Amino acid sequence: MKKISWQKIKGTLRGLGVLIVAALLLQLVSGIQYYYSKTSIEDEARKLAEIRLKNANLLVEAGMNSVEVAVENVTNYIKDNLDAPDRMFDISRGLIEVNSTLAECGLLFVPDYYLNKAHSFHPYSYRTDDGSILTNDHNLDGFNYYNRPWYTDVIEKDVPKWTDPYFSHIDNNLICTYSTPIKDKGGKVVAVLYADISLEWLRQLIEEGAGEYNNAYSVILNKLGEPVIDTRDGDIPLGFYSIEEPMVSQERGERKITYSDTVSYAFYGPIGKHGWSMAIVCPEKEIFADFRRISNLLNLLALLGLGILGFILYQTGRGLAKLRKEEGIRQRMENELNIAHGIQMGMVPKTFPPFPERDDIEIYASLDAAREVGGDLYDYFISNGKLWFCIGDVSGKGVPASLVMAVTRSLFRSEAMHQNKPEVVMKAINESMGEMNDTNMFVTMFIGCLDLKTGKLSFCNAGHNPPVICAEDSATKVQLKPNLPLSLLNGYNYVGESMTISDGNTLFLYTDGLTEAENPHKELFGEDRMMEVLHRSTLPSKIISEMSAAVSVHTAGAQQNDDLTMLAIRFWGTKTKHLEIKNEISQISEVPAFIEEFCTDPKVLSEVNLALEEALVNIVDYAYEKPGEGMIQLDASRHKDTLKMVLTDSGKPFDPTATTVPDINLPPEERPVGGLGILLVRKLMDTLEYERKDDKNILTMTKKIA
Amino acid sequence: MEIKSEKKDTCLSICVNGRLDTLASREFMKWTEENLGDDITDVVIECSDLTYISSSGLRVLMTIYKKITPKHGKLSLKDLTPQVGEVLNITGMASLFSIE
Repeated sequence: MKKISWQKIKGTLRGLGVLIVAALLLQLVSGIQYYYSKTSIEDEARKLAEIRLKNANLLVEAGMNSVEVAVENVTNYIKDNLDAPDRMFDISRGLIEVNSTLAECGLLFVPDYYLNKAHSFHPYSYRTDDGSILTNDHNLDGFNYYNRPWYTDVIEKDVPKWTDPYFSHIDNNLICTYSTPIKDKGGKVVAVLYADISLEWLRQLIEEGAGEYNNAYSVILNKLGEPVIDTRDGDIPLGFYSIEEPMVSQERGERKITYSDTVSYAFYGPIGKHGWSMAIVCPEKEIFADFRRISNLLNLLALLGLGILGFILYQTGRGLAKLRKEEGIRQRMENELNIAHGIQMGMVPKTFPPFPERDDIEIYASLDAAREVGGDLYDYFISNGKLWFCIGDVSGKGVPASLVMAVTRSLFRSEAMHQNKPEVVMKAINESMGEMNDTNMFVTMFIGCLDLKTGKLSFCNAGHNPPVICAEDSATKVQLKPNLPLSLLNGYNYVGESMTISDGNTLFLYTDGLTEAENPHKELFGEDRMMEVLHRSTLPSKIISEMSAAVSVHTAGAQQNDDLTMLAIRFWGTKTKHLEIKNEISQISEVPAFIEEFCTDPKVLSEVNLALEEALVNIVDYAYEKPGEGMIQLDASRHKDTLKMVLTDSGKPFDPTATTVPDINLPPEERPVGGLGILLVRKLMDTLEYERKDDKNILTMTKKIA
Repeated sequence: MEIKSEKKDTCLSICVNGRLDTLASREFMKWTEENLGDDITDVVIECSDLTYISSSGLRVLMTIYKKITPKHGKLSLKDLTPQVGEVLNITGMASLFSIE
């Protein structure tokens, strides 16, 4: 538990770390983006202002130039026509007609220049709102211009002059007046020709220039620093005048100005050729308004992204925790299965040889589960001189089969302990297990009970593969009566059978995992291959090791798909026989019948017979003084494949093993006639031992008979 | 044991059936003493039905052998069973007799 919660904390911390790093990265990116964007927006605003200023300058210059040129062009014409005063009206009209930028123009003659005209002769033309041109004589108005400074200035200095812009007395439009002296042929200034240029386009121009940004405005200052035109209708903030000086000095530049907490960018430059200067003032927050909006949107998006990232991390973390948990569960199940494997393997006897103190029975077995746990079982135990054994196969594999296997094995042990017939045990197990039809499981099983004194095997087979009897030179399947597998039908009566196991023969039992072991081409190991191996040996350990090897060769690494169990039991009945004979040669005729049943091989039997006869003859000839005097005890026993014979007599001490063995390589005439008997005994038997004990001669001979 | 014999000139043909154990050998020795005259130089023993021979039996064969050898005679054993042949081999007797 502790481990899991620590991992949880670790996971959460890791997630937070990723989130923080992502947030920092986003912040860095947006910082860089902010810096570059701001700079580029500033540049943009600057460029825009410069273009406006340049355009305004060019337009003003071009407008003024065109007026100057147009006006100067007519001065000579006027000079030549001074003697025709009425023509002056046409001249002024023509000037307006030809120059679209001109709003009004007129000639202001010095007082009383024409005697036939009014005191102040003032012919002029102007453009009306509907575009038509009207021509008139202003003297009717009584307009006294000749004492105005702008007039006297031109007359006296004899140079052309531009006025500052002002609002026309006619239509209140912004205008600017160019005035130039007109001289007669004598070089005397006689009149002033003036032309009004409408500056409404300039006003529009600067209004457009300022209109790029909200709350922006433009101002044009004259050379005295007085505002000529502004887009705030005279309401110019005081802070603006901080740039008056550079403007009046005809400088070009930009400056940040502050008034009442508002920071603005002011771009300014000279305009026209009369010392004017124009400024475009944009509040900073308006320049960056769009940028701030986009920036805020980006920040919002970044936050949203972080949120999504956090959610993903959280979900991933949860997924990882789940995976980790599942891994933990899987590992725990694996551990449990390993433990279960150990427990299951502990249920079947696995110590070989299982009965080392016994020489009448040899057992070897193997259980190889296809998974960690399996449904095969085998078991054996000795009780009351009987070997009980079983082999079984639970349908299915894995944990469910292993549970049934454990139950079956326990029932076998408990039932067989106090029963004496396999079929009774089988029925009892069947009843205890009950029907498992709902799980579709059943158990095939072979139960045997071998009487170790007689070799009689009683058995009961519940649908299991028939075992094989392996003799020295043959392997035969046991013919079985059919019985239902276990746990299919309650109340079923199992039928038992019996047979005798010959000495030295081996009963081989197996589950179908053996015959159905598949190679990669899905070919079964099959009964033929099994029988072939069984023909080779009767030694249980060898049978099973060779069978396992044969299966390995066959399957060639293909995955094992069923549990494979083998059990081999070799039986050696212990035979003992006793015979007491008189100390007489005639008694040797008892020998053949005495040893006959220990051995089936006629050659071996003949050798044993001969050795025993020779040993007996020796005793009769040498141990007793007279024939018929004493008795000879004859004991024969067979342990596994070895026959042991013990001859005991009460005669005088005589050790046949101490007699000299005749040299059979001597020439015939030198050979002793006797001594061949003991030679034969030595040669025919495997061991020969003499012992004098309790005044008795004890001669022990053994020979392997199989 | 059963003994049959046929004499032809100086050659005695004997047929021994069954088991030549210690008891039977005594009988065979007695028979030999009675039937193996001084005029016999060669002895042929038909052994096809002799299934067993003990050292006593071998002793009888040696006795016959020693009796006829000075007369430059020959002891032949015919159609030995494996059991009897093995005993003769173990005891080195096979080299003394003519095994046919």
